[in-house]
Amino acid sequence: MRNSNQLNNSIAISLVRPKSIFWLNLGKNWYKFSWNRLSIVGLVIVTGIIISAIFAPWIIPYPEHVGPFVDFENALQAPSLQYLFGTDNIGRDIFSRVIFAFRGALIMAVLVLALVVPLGVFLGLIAGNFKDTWIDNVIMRITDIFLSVPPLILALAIAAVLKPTLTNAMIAISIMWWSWYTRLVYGMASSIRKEYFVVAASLMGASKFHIIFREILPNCMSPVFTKMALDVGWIILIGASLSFVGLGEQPPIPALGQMVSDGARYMPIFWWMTIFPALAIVLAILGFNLLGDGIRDMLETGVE
Amino acid sequence: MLKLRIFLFRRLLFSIFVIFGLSIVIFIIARVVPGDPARMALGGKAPKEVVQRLRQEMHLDKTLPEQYFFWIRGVLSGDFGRSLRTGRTVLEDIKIFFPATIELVIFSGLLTVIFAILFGTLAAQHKNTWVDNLIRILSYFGVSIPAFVAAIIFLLLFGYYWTILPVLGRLSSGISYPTKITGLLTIDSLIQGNFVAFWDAFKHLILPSTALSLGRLFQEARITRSSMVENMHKEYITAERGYGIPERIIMFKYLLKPSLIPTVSIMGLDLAASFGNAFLVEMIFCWPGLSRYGINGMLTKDLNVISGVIILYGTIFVITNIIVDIILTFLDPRIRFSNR
Repeated sequence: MRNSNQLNNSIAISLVRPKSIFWLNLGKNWYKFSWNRLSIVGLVIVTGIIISAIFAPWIIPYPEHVGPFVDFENALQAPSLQYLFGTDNIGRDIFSRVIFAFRGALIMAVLVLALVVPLGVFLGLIAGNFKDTWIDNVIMRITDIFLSVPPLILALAIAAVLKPTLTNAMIAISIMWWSWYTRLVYGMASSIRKEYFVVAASLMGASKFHIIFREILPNCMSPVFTKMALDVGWIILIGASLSFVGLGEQPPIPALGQMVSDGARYMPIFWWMTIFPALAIVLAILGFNLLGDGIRDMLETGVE
Repeated sequence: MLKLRIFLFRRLLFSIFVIFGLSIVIFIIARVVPGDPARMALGGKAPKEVVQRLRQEMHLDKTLPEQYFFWIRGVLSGDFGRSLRTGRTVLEDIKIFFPATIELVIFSGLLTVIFAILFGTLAAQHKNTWVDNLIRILSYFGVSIPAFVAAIIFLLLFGYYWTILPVLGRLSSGISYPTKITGLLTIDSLIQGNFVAFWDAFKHLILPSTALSLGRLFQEARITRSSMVENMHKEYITAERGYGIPERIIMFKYLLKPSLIPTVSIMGLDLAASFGNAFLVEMIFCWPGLSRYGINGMLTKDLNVISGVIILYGTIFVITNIIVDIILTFLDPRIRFSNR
């Protein structure tokens, strides 16, 4: 959008590739981001989650409780100062387990994105750049197939036929997830390739490689960053759904969905076994949603 | 109209292609990934000859393309094979379990449409007041609460503390099922004038469908709101105010209808996706529907069930998208007359 505005003003300007404005305008971007207080809330939540995930082994009060630990004397204790979130049916500290499960969920989300974003973006770039050729048709029709089923359904099916491990859950989610990035970047790339600064580059004899990765790619990245921030929340959700039905990280290592479903059997009296992991899932999705919205406002609104 | 027909025809062709592609993906998931399906079906203790015979029956001794050909030929005639768990064919099971899921998804869809439009309109009318802010905050929480977490919390609240609504199954144990016509209990009992069963079935529907619709309800309310706020400043609205058309008519006739376009386009996707979310919700509420059947199939590695359910849901998803496109052409004349 910004590019087409520039087009109208002066062709001379638009012949120059827009510089990555994020770092140059850090102050202005921060102003735009912090204008919405909810974005700040999101940033605080996400920062908290990330810090506690990184430093989990040092900040959790009972590190041995995330493994095969049994202490029947302290089983099913209500939340107290000693056990912030109470203890589960075999006496493990729920707080320690929730923080540790956060770590697992976050690692999973980051790994899935690390796998999926480069692949999806690459395919989208190629298909967009060669729009209306057979390359575009092959890539985008395959993408459409993966977009035609809700991700949860196929991810469940794939995770179910494989062995129930964390790695396989990640593979299942990744197989579904790349298609969204391909679709997103495809739309952007196929319109950006007609902008004058791209045409100018190709007239100056730039290689296809240079055009795709140096001219088109940097200008597709804003929505990709926004989507990545939002997706961390959604991947945590899908991962929790998988582990809720027993696909994913296996006990005794805690996972958020697994803790919710284990605790459900001890409802309603021992509600803390379920409610705290459930709240943790809600908090994570909320945080990344707010942050993602904030990033979108910051990077994508045309108002200068 | 001719253009519309061509457009729909192309969409239909494209959808057939997508479902065909999906069938290959599912074939790979169900037949290629897990190793030997015959061995999995019979268990580790079955004698070699029996496994060998089943392999021949399932055409597993042929090449992969041939296997796919035999499989897809069966699927096209409705033969998904037998379920290992129930012993019936998957098609019979689908007929038994699908109405319950349809009832749940349709009811939750109705809830979503009604409340999304209601909340969206309210928020747009009272823009930047506490009503708007409340709905905004609710929407952030609504989106962040996964369906299965909402379901568990409902189970806790209504199952134990506040027992005004039933939490398990489709019908209380004392009430006999109405004769099966459509399979949708509420509709069947209404047709037969069995109001006791209708009321009971209706009450059983409320919690699962609320849990299912909570997330998308508020998201769609937000979309409706922002689309209405955007349209509010269009010149035709100002012109209508100038003509002295009553505010209520402007609101509902001229503002709401075009503002629903983005809502409807996301609603279709959401509705189809809720078949997937129903997996966990049906499990929690013991709802005897196809999604619960599907997830049980997945957990017991019942490959025919997995492929049957996914093909069915994929087809529904694709068909829903076509229907959404048709609805959009009625809401937005520009789509109807453009060259798409």
